[in-house]
Amino acid sequence: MVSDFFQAYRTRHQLAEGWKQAGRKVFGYFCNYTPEELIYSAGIIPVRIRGSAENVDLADAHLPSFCCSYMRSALDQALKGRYSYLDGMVFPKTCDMTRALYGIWKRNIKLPYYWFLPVPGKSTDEAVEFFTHELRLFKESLEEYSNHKISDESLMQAIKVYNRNRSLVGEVYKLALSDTPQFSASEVFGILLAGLVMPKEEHNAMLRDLLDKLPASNTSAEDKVRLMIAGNTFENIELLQTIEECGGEVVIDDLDIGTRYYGSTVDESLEPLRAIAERYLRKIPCPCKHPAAPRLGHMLELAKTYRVKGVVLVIQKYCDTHLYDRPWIESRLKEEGFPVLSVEHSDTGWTGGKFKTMVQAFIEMLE
Amino acid sequence: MIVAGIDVGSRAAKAVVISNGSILSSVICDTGPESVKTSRAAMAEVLKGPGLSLDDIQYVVATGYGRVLVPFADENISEISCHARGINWYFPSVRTILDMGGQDCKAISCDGNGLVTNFIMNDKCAGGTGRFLEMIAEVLNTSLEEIGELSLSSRNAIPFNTICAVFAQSEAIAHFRKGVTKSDILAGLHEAIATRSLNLLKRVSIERDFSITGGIAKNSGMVAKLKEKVGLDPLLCEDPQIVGALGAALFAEERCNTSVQGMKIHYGYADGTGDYFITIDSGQCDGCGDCARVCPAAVLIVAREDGRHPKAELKEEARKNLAFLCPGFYSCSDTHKINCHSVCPKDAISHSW
Repeated sequence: MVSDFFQAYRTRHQLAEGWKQAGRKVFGYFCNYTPEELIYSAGIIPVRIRGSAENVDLADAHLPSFCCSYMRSALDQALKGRYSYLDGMVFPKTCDMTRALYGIWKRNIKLPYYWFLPVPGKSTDEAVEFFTHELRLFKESLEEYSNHKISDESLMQAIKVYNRNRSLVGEVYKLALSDTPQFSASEVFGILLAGLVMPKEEHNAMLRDLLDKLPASNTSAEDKVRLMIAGNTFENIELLQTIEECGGEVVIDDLDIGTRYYGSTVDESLEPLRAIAERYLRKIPCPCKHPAAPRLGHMLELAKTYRVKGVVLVIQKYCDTHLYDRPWIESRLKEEGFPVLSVEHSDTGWTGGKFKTMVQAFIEMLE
Repeated sequence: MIVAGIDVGSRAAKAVVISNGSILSSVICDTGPESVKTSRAAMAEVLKGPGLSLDDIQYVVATGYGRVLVPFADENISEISCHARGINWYFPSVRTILDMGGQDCKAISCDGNGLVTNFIMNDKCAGGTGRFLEMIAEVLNTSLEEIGELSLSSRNAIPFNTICAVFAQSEAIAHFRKGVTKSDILAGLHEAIATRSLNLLKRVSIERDFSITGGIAKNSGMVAKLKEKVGLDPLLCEDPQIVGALGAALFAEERCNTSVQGMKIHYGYADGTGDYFITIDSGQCDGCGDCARVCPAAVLIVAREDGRHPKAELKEEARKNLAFLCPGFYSCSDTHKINCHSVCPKDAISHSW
């Protein structure tokens, strides 16, 4: 059932404790630029570090209030011991916050394994060359940690599991091409979130099961205003529920945990490390990478394919990489005929009333 | 037809009753801690003037922060849409609105029909809103009504570094202790708020004409400062504070009109040979009867139902065998240049074949 996904996400810490008791190792990681296939092929379960709506208090001693609320909350959760089951942490070089947090985390939370992965800012051939080399170093360190050689076969196996996951989530997205999709945006959100914190083969099995037993189409979605949600990430499902209450139907996303994570597969015909390097550097870029044009192209294509009438841009407060891109992305979307509602968001300081007023006015404007 | 709009804001509740596009009465009262009670009280008050009861009101639209809590409302619409709609009733030429309310501030762009084309809301904090001015008035021991005029009498406005409500308050106290006059402090604060509002406006683009709504629009000092900053003379309506409630009432009226008149009535039938329908848009048809007069097959008639406006319709006896009487618009218009479509001044009639 679709609600099982959100349930799995909500109980993610308990699930992880369970794997630990079964003798598995669990690594935390930030950002969709971490090549999880490598961690997975070493027999370790990678889980995405997420924030929470819980008040931030312990992290205030380490991060000033102008750091993005997601990172402050993530560190706070770790300091409160919510991630006590982790055996290691992987930080890719993406935004300045992620980079800085590597040092702060390492200093304050003792773990057997830490890795900082330099991810180039561009996607040229030279960058792919560089990144392939970095992946080799990462692989060697994982081998050393796990005391176990990662063969090309096991790497290939990991690539296949991850590609399968991407194509199954892709099938879920395609359901929303219809005027009466089976799942609401908040349900799809649960599916996306569960995939961040579950072993991919389990997520795949749940997805296959869900797609085999699809519920009936939701005919009430027909009169709703089709929207795209874009931005980085957020925890608060109320955000999507408010859009639904106001007569909107989010049918597609351009989110850090959505199409930018689940899109683009690894080429299975190439040498594995090289293929992984290609995929991560040439996937739909996040704003921490350059240039921004491919992302805009991706957004426009989705907006047209999924027939949306407008875009809700939700950006974490103080996320400078997203805020830099915002004026350009916003004006280009408007030029192409997609009105944009820009919202600054913070999971720990959610102001539902104001958000509702803005969303309702936006939908009234589009109707 | 009598309808009402109610705007339960963060500081004040406003209600307006209108009848056929003109205002019968309006009221403004403080929003108490309980929005439900406040909305009932405001409604009771606004009905008192014209001597009406809630039963006389055909439709109520609620807006403002408390819009979902109005128990007698038929619908709720965001205050952003309502302000655009309300100002359009006063001044159809307005394209840019600055709504300065109790706890937030919005810049709105709208078109000639009063439809929102773009908008932006202030950040979370209350700096530059009505509540902020209330606080400052309290600190300076002045009434909210006076501060605008006082700020205008200043000769030497004190520049303020911040308009964070908390910091500005302590800064104002510090100036006051040093002996700076109230008017100079107020002029500085008004200047700071106007600058902040200008930045909000720039993000939606400033186009003529410009208007200010909400409670702060009653502050002459603020209006003067905004006029200077924006470079446009704002069009101000009689009571800028009720614009949201008025917009809500206008939406209520529109809802009644569309549900009663916006119906397209299809006469005819479909059989194995095709669809044979004549459609009358009863929202458009004014019952002039020209179509009935020119129809060569004489299948149309203008009916006068009791108490309703006359509308064109298909004669009862033609409804079951329409295809045999009317050749359809395409064939008919070949031979009859003057036909039911060509004579209709409202384009209210159409054929399916």
